[in-house]
Amino acid sequence: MKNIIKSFFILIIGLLALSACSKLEPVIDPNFPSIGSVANNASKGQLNNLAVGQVSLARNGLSTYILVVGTLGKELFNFNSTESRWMTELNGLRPIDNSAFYNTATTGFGLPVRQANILIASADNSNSITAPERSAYKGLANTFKGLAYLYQLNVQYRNGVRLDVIDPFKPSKPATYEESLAGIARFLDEGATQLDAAGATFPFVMPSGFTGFNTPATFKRFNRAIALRVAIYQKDWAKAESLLSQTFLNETGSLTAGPQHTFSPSSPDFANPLLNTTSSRIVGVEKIFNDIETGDKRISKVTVVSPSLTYTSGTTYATKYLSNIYTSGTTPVPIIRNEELILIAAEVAAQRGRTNDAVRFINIIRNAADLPNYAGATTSAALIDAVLKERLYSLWYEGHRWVDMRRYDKISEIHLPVTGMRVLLQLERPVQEVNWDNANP
Amino acid sequence: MNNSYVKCILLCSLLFFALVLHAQDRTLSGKVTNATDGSGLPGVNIIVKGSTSGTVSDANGNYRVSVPASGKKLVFSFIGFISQELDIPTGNELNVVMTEDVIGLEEVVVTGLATSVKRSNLANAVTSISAKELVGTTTPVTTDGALQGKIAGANIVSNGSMPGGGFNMQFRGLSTLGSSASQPLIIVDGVYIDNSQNSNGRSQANKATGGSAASTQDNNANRLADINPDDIENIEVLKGASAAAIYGTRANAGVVIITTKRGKGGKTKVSFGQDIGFSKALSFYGGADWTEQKLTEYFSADEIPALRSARQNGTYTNWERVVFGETGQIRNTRLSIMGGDEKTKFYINGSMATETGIVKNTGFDRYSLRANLDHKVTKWLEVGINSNYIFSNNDRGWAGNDNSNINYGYNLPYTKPFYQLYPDAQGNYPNNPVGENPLAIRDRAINNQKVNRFLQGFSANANVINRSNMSLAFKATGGLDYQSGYALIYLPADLQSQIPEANPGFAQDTRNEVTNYNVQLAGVFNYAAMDGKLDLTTSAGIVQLGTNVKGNYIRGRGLPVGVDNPARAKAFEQDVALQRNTDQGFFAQQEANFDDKVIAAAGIRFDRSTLNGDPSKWYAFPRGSLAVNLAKFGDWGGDILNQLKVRVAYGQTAGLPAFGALYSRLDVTGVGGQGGFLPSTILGNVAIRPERATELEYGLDFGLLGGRITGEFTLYNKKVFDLIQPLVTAPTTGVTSTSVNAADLENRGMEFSLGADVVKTENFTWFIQPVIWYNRSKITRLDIPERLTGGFGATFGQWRIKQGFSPTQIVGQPRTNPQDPTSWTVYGDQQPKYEFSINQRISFLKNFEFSALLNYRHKFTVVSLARVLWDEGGNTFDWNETNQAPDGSTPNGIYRQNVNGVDGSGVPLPGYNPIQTSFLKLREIALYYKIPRNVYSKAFGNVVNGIKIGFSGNNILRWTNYTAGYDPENSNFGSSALGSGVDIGSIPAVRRFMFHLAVDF
Repeated sequence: MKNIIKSFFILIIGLLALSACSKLEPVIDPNFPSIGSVANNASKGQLNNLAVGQVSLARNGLSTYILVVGTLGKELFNFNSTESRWMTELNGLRPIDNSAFYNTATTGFGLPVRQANILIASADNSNSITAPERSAYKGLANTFKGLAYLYQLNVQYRNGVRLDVIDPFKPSKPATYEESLAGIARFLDEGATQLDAAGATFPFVMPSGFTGFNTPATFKRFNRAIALRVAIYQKDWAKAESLLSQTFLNETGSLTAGPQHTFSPSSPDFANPLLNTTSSRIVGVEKIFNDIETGDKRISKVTVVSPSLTYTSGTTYATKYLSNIYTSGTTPVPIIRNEELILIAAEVAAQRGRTNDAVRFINIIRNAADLPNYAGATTSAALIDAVLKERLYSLWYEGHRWVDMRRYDKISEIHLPVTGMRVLLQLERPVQEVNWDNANP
Repeated sequence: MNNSYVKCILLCSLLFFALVLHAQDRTLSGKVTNATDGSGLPGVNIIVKGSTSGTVSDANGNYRVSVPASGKKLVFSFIGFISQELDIPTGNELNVVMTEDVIGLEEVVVTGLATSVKRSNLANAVTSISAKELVGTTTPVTTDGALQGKIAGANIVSNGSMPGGGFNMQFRGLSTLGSSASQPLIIVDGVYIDNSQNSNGRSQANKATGGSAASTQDNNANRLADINPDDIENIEVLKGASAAAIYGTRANAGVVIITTKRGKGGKTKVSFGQDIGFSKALSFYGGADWTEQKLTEYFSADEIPALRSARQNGTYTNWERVVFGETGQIRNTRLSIMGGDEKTKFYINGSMATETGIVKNTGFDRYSLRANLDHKVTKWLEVGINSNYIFSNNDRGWAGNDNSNINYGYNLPYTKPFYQLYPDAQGNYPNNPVGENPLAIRDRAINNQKVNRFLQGFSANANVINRSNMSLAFKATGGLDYQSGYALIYLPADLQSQIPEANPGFAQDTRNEVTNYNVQLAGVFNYAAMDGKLDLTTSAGIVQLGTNVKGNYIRGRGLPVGVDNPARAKAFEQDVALQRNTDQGFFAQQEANFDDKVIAAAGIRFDRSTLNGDPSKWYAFPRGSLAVNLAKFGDWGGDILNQLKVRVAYGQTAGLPAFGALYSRLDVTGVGGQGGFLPSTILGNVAIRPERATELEYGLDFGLLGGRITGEFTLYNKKVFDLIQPLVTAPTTGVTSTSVNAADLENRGMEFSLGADVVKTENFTWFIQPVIWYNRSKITRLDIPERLTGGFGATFGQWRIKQGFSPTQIVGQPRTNPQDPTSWTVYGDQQPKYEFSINQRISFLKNFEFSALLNYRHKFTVVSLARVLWDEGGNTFDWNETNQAPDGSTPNGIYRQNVNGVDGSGVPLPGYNPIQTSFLKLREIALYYKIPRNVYSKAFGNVVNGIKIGFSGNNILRWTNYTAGYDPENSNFGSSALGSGVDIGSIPAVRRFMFHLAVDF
């Protein structure tokens, strides 16, 4: 009896020992490489992949951004048959929701910033690359970092942006609007300096949308173009003036010249997200295209449909103008174009009192649209209004109208297509941003 | 699995089985009869206590058993009857009369991994569902569906009414806030089975979700649907940590132990069953009339000519009734054979279940073949295998959330009755002005999921020592669940909604391969001390389980017309997703039973898992319980109080982090012909720990009037610690969240059930069983900012995670203080205030049996976007009425297109906001007639032993004040712990009627 009990317990102990003796090996992620793998001494191949990822990520949040900003500025509407909040909440007909899908217009630009910070840190911690190569990676990263912050700031405006998010668990508090703009200018300037030190070629193959901007020197022209946008937002006309010549501004060149986001519907790439679909049709606000000057070629940005497209969910609005800009899953989306640079040149000239230059630049745009020369008043205010008008048609559906009217304090002049609609000055801070600061004061 | 580990296990098993002991015999015989009608009882188990010697009574109730010289007592037991322990007489005959055990005091309940205990001695409120309760009334589609309303403490919610099921099972409130398993561990005959919902790309096809990730919005069935409910002998539900502690790290959401039928020996019994039935929509939702004035004022006057011409031509059609008005066909056929001899017993069951839905081209078929085999190799060694092959085939149609007007719940609400949708003579479907023609989707799109599944279990029991006062047994159990799923999603390229796409046509071919295995070795030592008054059982063992999941898909867009093979497309997305994990554990338990008066148990389990941050760290899960049968201390209860038991139990369990929580991954992207890396917005946490639950449960069980009235009253306090929460970071940092152990919650609740034989005569019996239960949850610690989760934004209502509040509380717009961005309006709780059900069984005229199950759920909150769509479309049944708006003149359908908040007393007003509701459903009702033998004995002689016919219904009646959609039971987000129960794009609830025929040979 005693022996049996004894042997039973020996067996039990044996069983337990058996469990303890066998090892349980950790399971390595079978699906993806890890962020840790690029943290220390990343190879050139890994850095190249991060660099391409940086270019790819520049498209993050962009479609929501363009549609939200376009709606806010009442240049276009998203007739979305499965989501009436595009028409109601974004147009002030119902309370704005800081947890709704459209907050991607802000939050979507966090990841490109993080990618830039990772790429910069990885390049700094890598022994596998030369100094110019390191500068190339960092110049690319800082350029896209500045661009992403700028989109974010446009949507958040007076709420500002967090300029230091290197440690995602210790982000800086949002800076003021002016500080934010200055911070963005610094990132871009830093990028420009790094591109200057980056040698003649990039260590990676630049994606095809950057043809013409695929060396450190030519890519820097793109960097300076974004810096120019920042300068005019800062109303720093002197700096803007000095930047103009460093960009790819070309008075006689194609208005569409400039780097582009490219798309492909096959993964890991994705299709152009700005296409009209059955459930989402991007339409022009009717008054804008009704008011277009006769013969203006830019009417081709929309097609006139009959009968009119009518939206009836939550609010009722009809328009006969359907966007015609993006027609296929591979149509590229411009990041910044020569046309915008010429219009900025006009604006800078008007602000600097160089009336003749301003008119000359405006006429380049008008003539390209088959319109006669500008014949209006040449006061600074009149010229600015003329530039704003050309910008409305030249840059329609590129996310500028709302920002333009805001920076000239003309939000109240935006035409309200439906009674009761309002133009919001900015989106609310996303709920997660608010919550984070409440919990980490 | 680690190879040397397997070898070790095998070696040890052999060692155990190599020990043998002997005994010697004499013979005893007699007859076992049923107390109710005096008929012989076949299949009664007769065991000489403390020995391996035993037998089973034959078809007439006669038995013959060999008794060893040392044998003192005989134990007679039979499922559904109160077992008896009798002294072995000096003579050679012993006749026994057995009484039915209505409430199941006698049934044996699994409490440990290797031991079990009689219900009357149990210290936990473990719900047992017998085959009769499960499928005795009506034939359910799936096992989880058949449990609705039958388990005190369970909140089982249907995710929708497409054939093939889909249910969310929650026991005793919440056990996770979404990061760990929300659904209970399900064990079928010792095999840990997979119950996941496999994603298939459907929500990418209709753009309900973007990206390529797996989605909870695919609206698929959970794979418990593969188990044939008719195979089930018994289900035991361990609802909380105190009962489930010995299952350790996988048991936080409870454990459902399913035991399938096994051969009982004796005469071979062949049973044939056939159900034929139909199903219909329980209700419709649209139907508002259209006038020219309505079009002019609220929609577009441009449509007036279409309205006029439809009125003139008589083509004004309620399209909702066209799509949802079909009659579903139900056909179930099963044939089982069971039998065997003293050494070998078998059960074989083949079944076919076929059901079509209320939408054309939807349906669920399941073909299941099971063979359970038990063999006594020697006196001391028994082995058993359970094999089950299942093929299921599910066409689930298009319901739920959508962003391309494809789903019925999205196109029908907007489709005005004067539109024309019928195809022309050439089969061309006209365009629907709202974006897609529901008839084209119904007839041409495919959402099909097929599963080939093999469940293989084994068991081996070695009774190494068997003496009158002592026994030692070694048990090895385990098995394999292998599942190969194949899903096809197809939208033809020439559908109205596809033509404008850049790459028209969508097809996705998804393959899912799931392999679960588990092995358990245990020893059980039983010792009777104090002259047999104190029964001591020691058990201990080791457990290993593993999961291997592989999901592949290829998704093609841009298909040639008429082609559903995604490989022929122009643009592709594809993925191979792997998942592997292994758990190891060991356990020991000591049970003591003093004369059935005081029953105590204590145990501990240690577990580790590769899903934890530290895979080599052992986590301990102790348990302890005490039950005292007060009525057995003397005769003080008299004839009235026959049983009075007080019980208390405590235990701990855990829930594992989800696979992937450890990893900070680099995703892959491509642009302009180049490939690149980008960081995931979710950071991994290598320090993640399991979620741990403790539960204290106490209660009182009583039996009155000779067991005619029994009751079970339980209170519990289930606390869950270290809940894994997304630490939601500021998203502009590029990191949206990381998983951290950051919250605790508490569930307190009550469960009370009463069973009464109100009338018990030979010709009329009436059994009634009311059950009531409630649960209250509260977050007691939250180390992250409060957050909203689930749903579609605060406009429509979301779940709020906030310290001091229930995590199932639903809040939303408007803010009560516009300055405070988190001052949401409270709309109530997703968990009902209480749930109540009444089960009744009435038998009359000897051969008739009537049964009914009513289920009531009181005041719970539903996030509904269903009505939003119908209101926007102008078709809601009460759209034109004006009784809801304060001004008395705005149509309801216009008034409700806003967040309307709550009224003065906190009751939600109709609007975009969530609403509070209750329902009463007649879950099951049936009438059966057992045809008297003399009616058919002439025709069939002795070939046929029993014929039963009957009618039954499932969810045939419903009362509810829910008007924000078809049915308050719905979940667009599948079986998530939080955020399920969103009603959007749903289809009508279904009532099912069936005729049954069962023949025993």
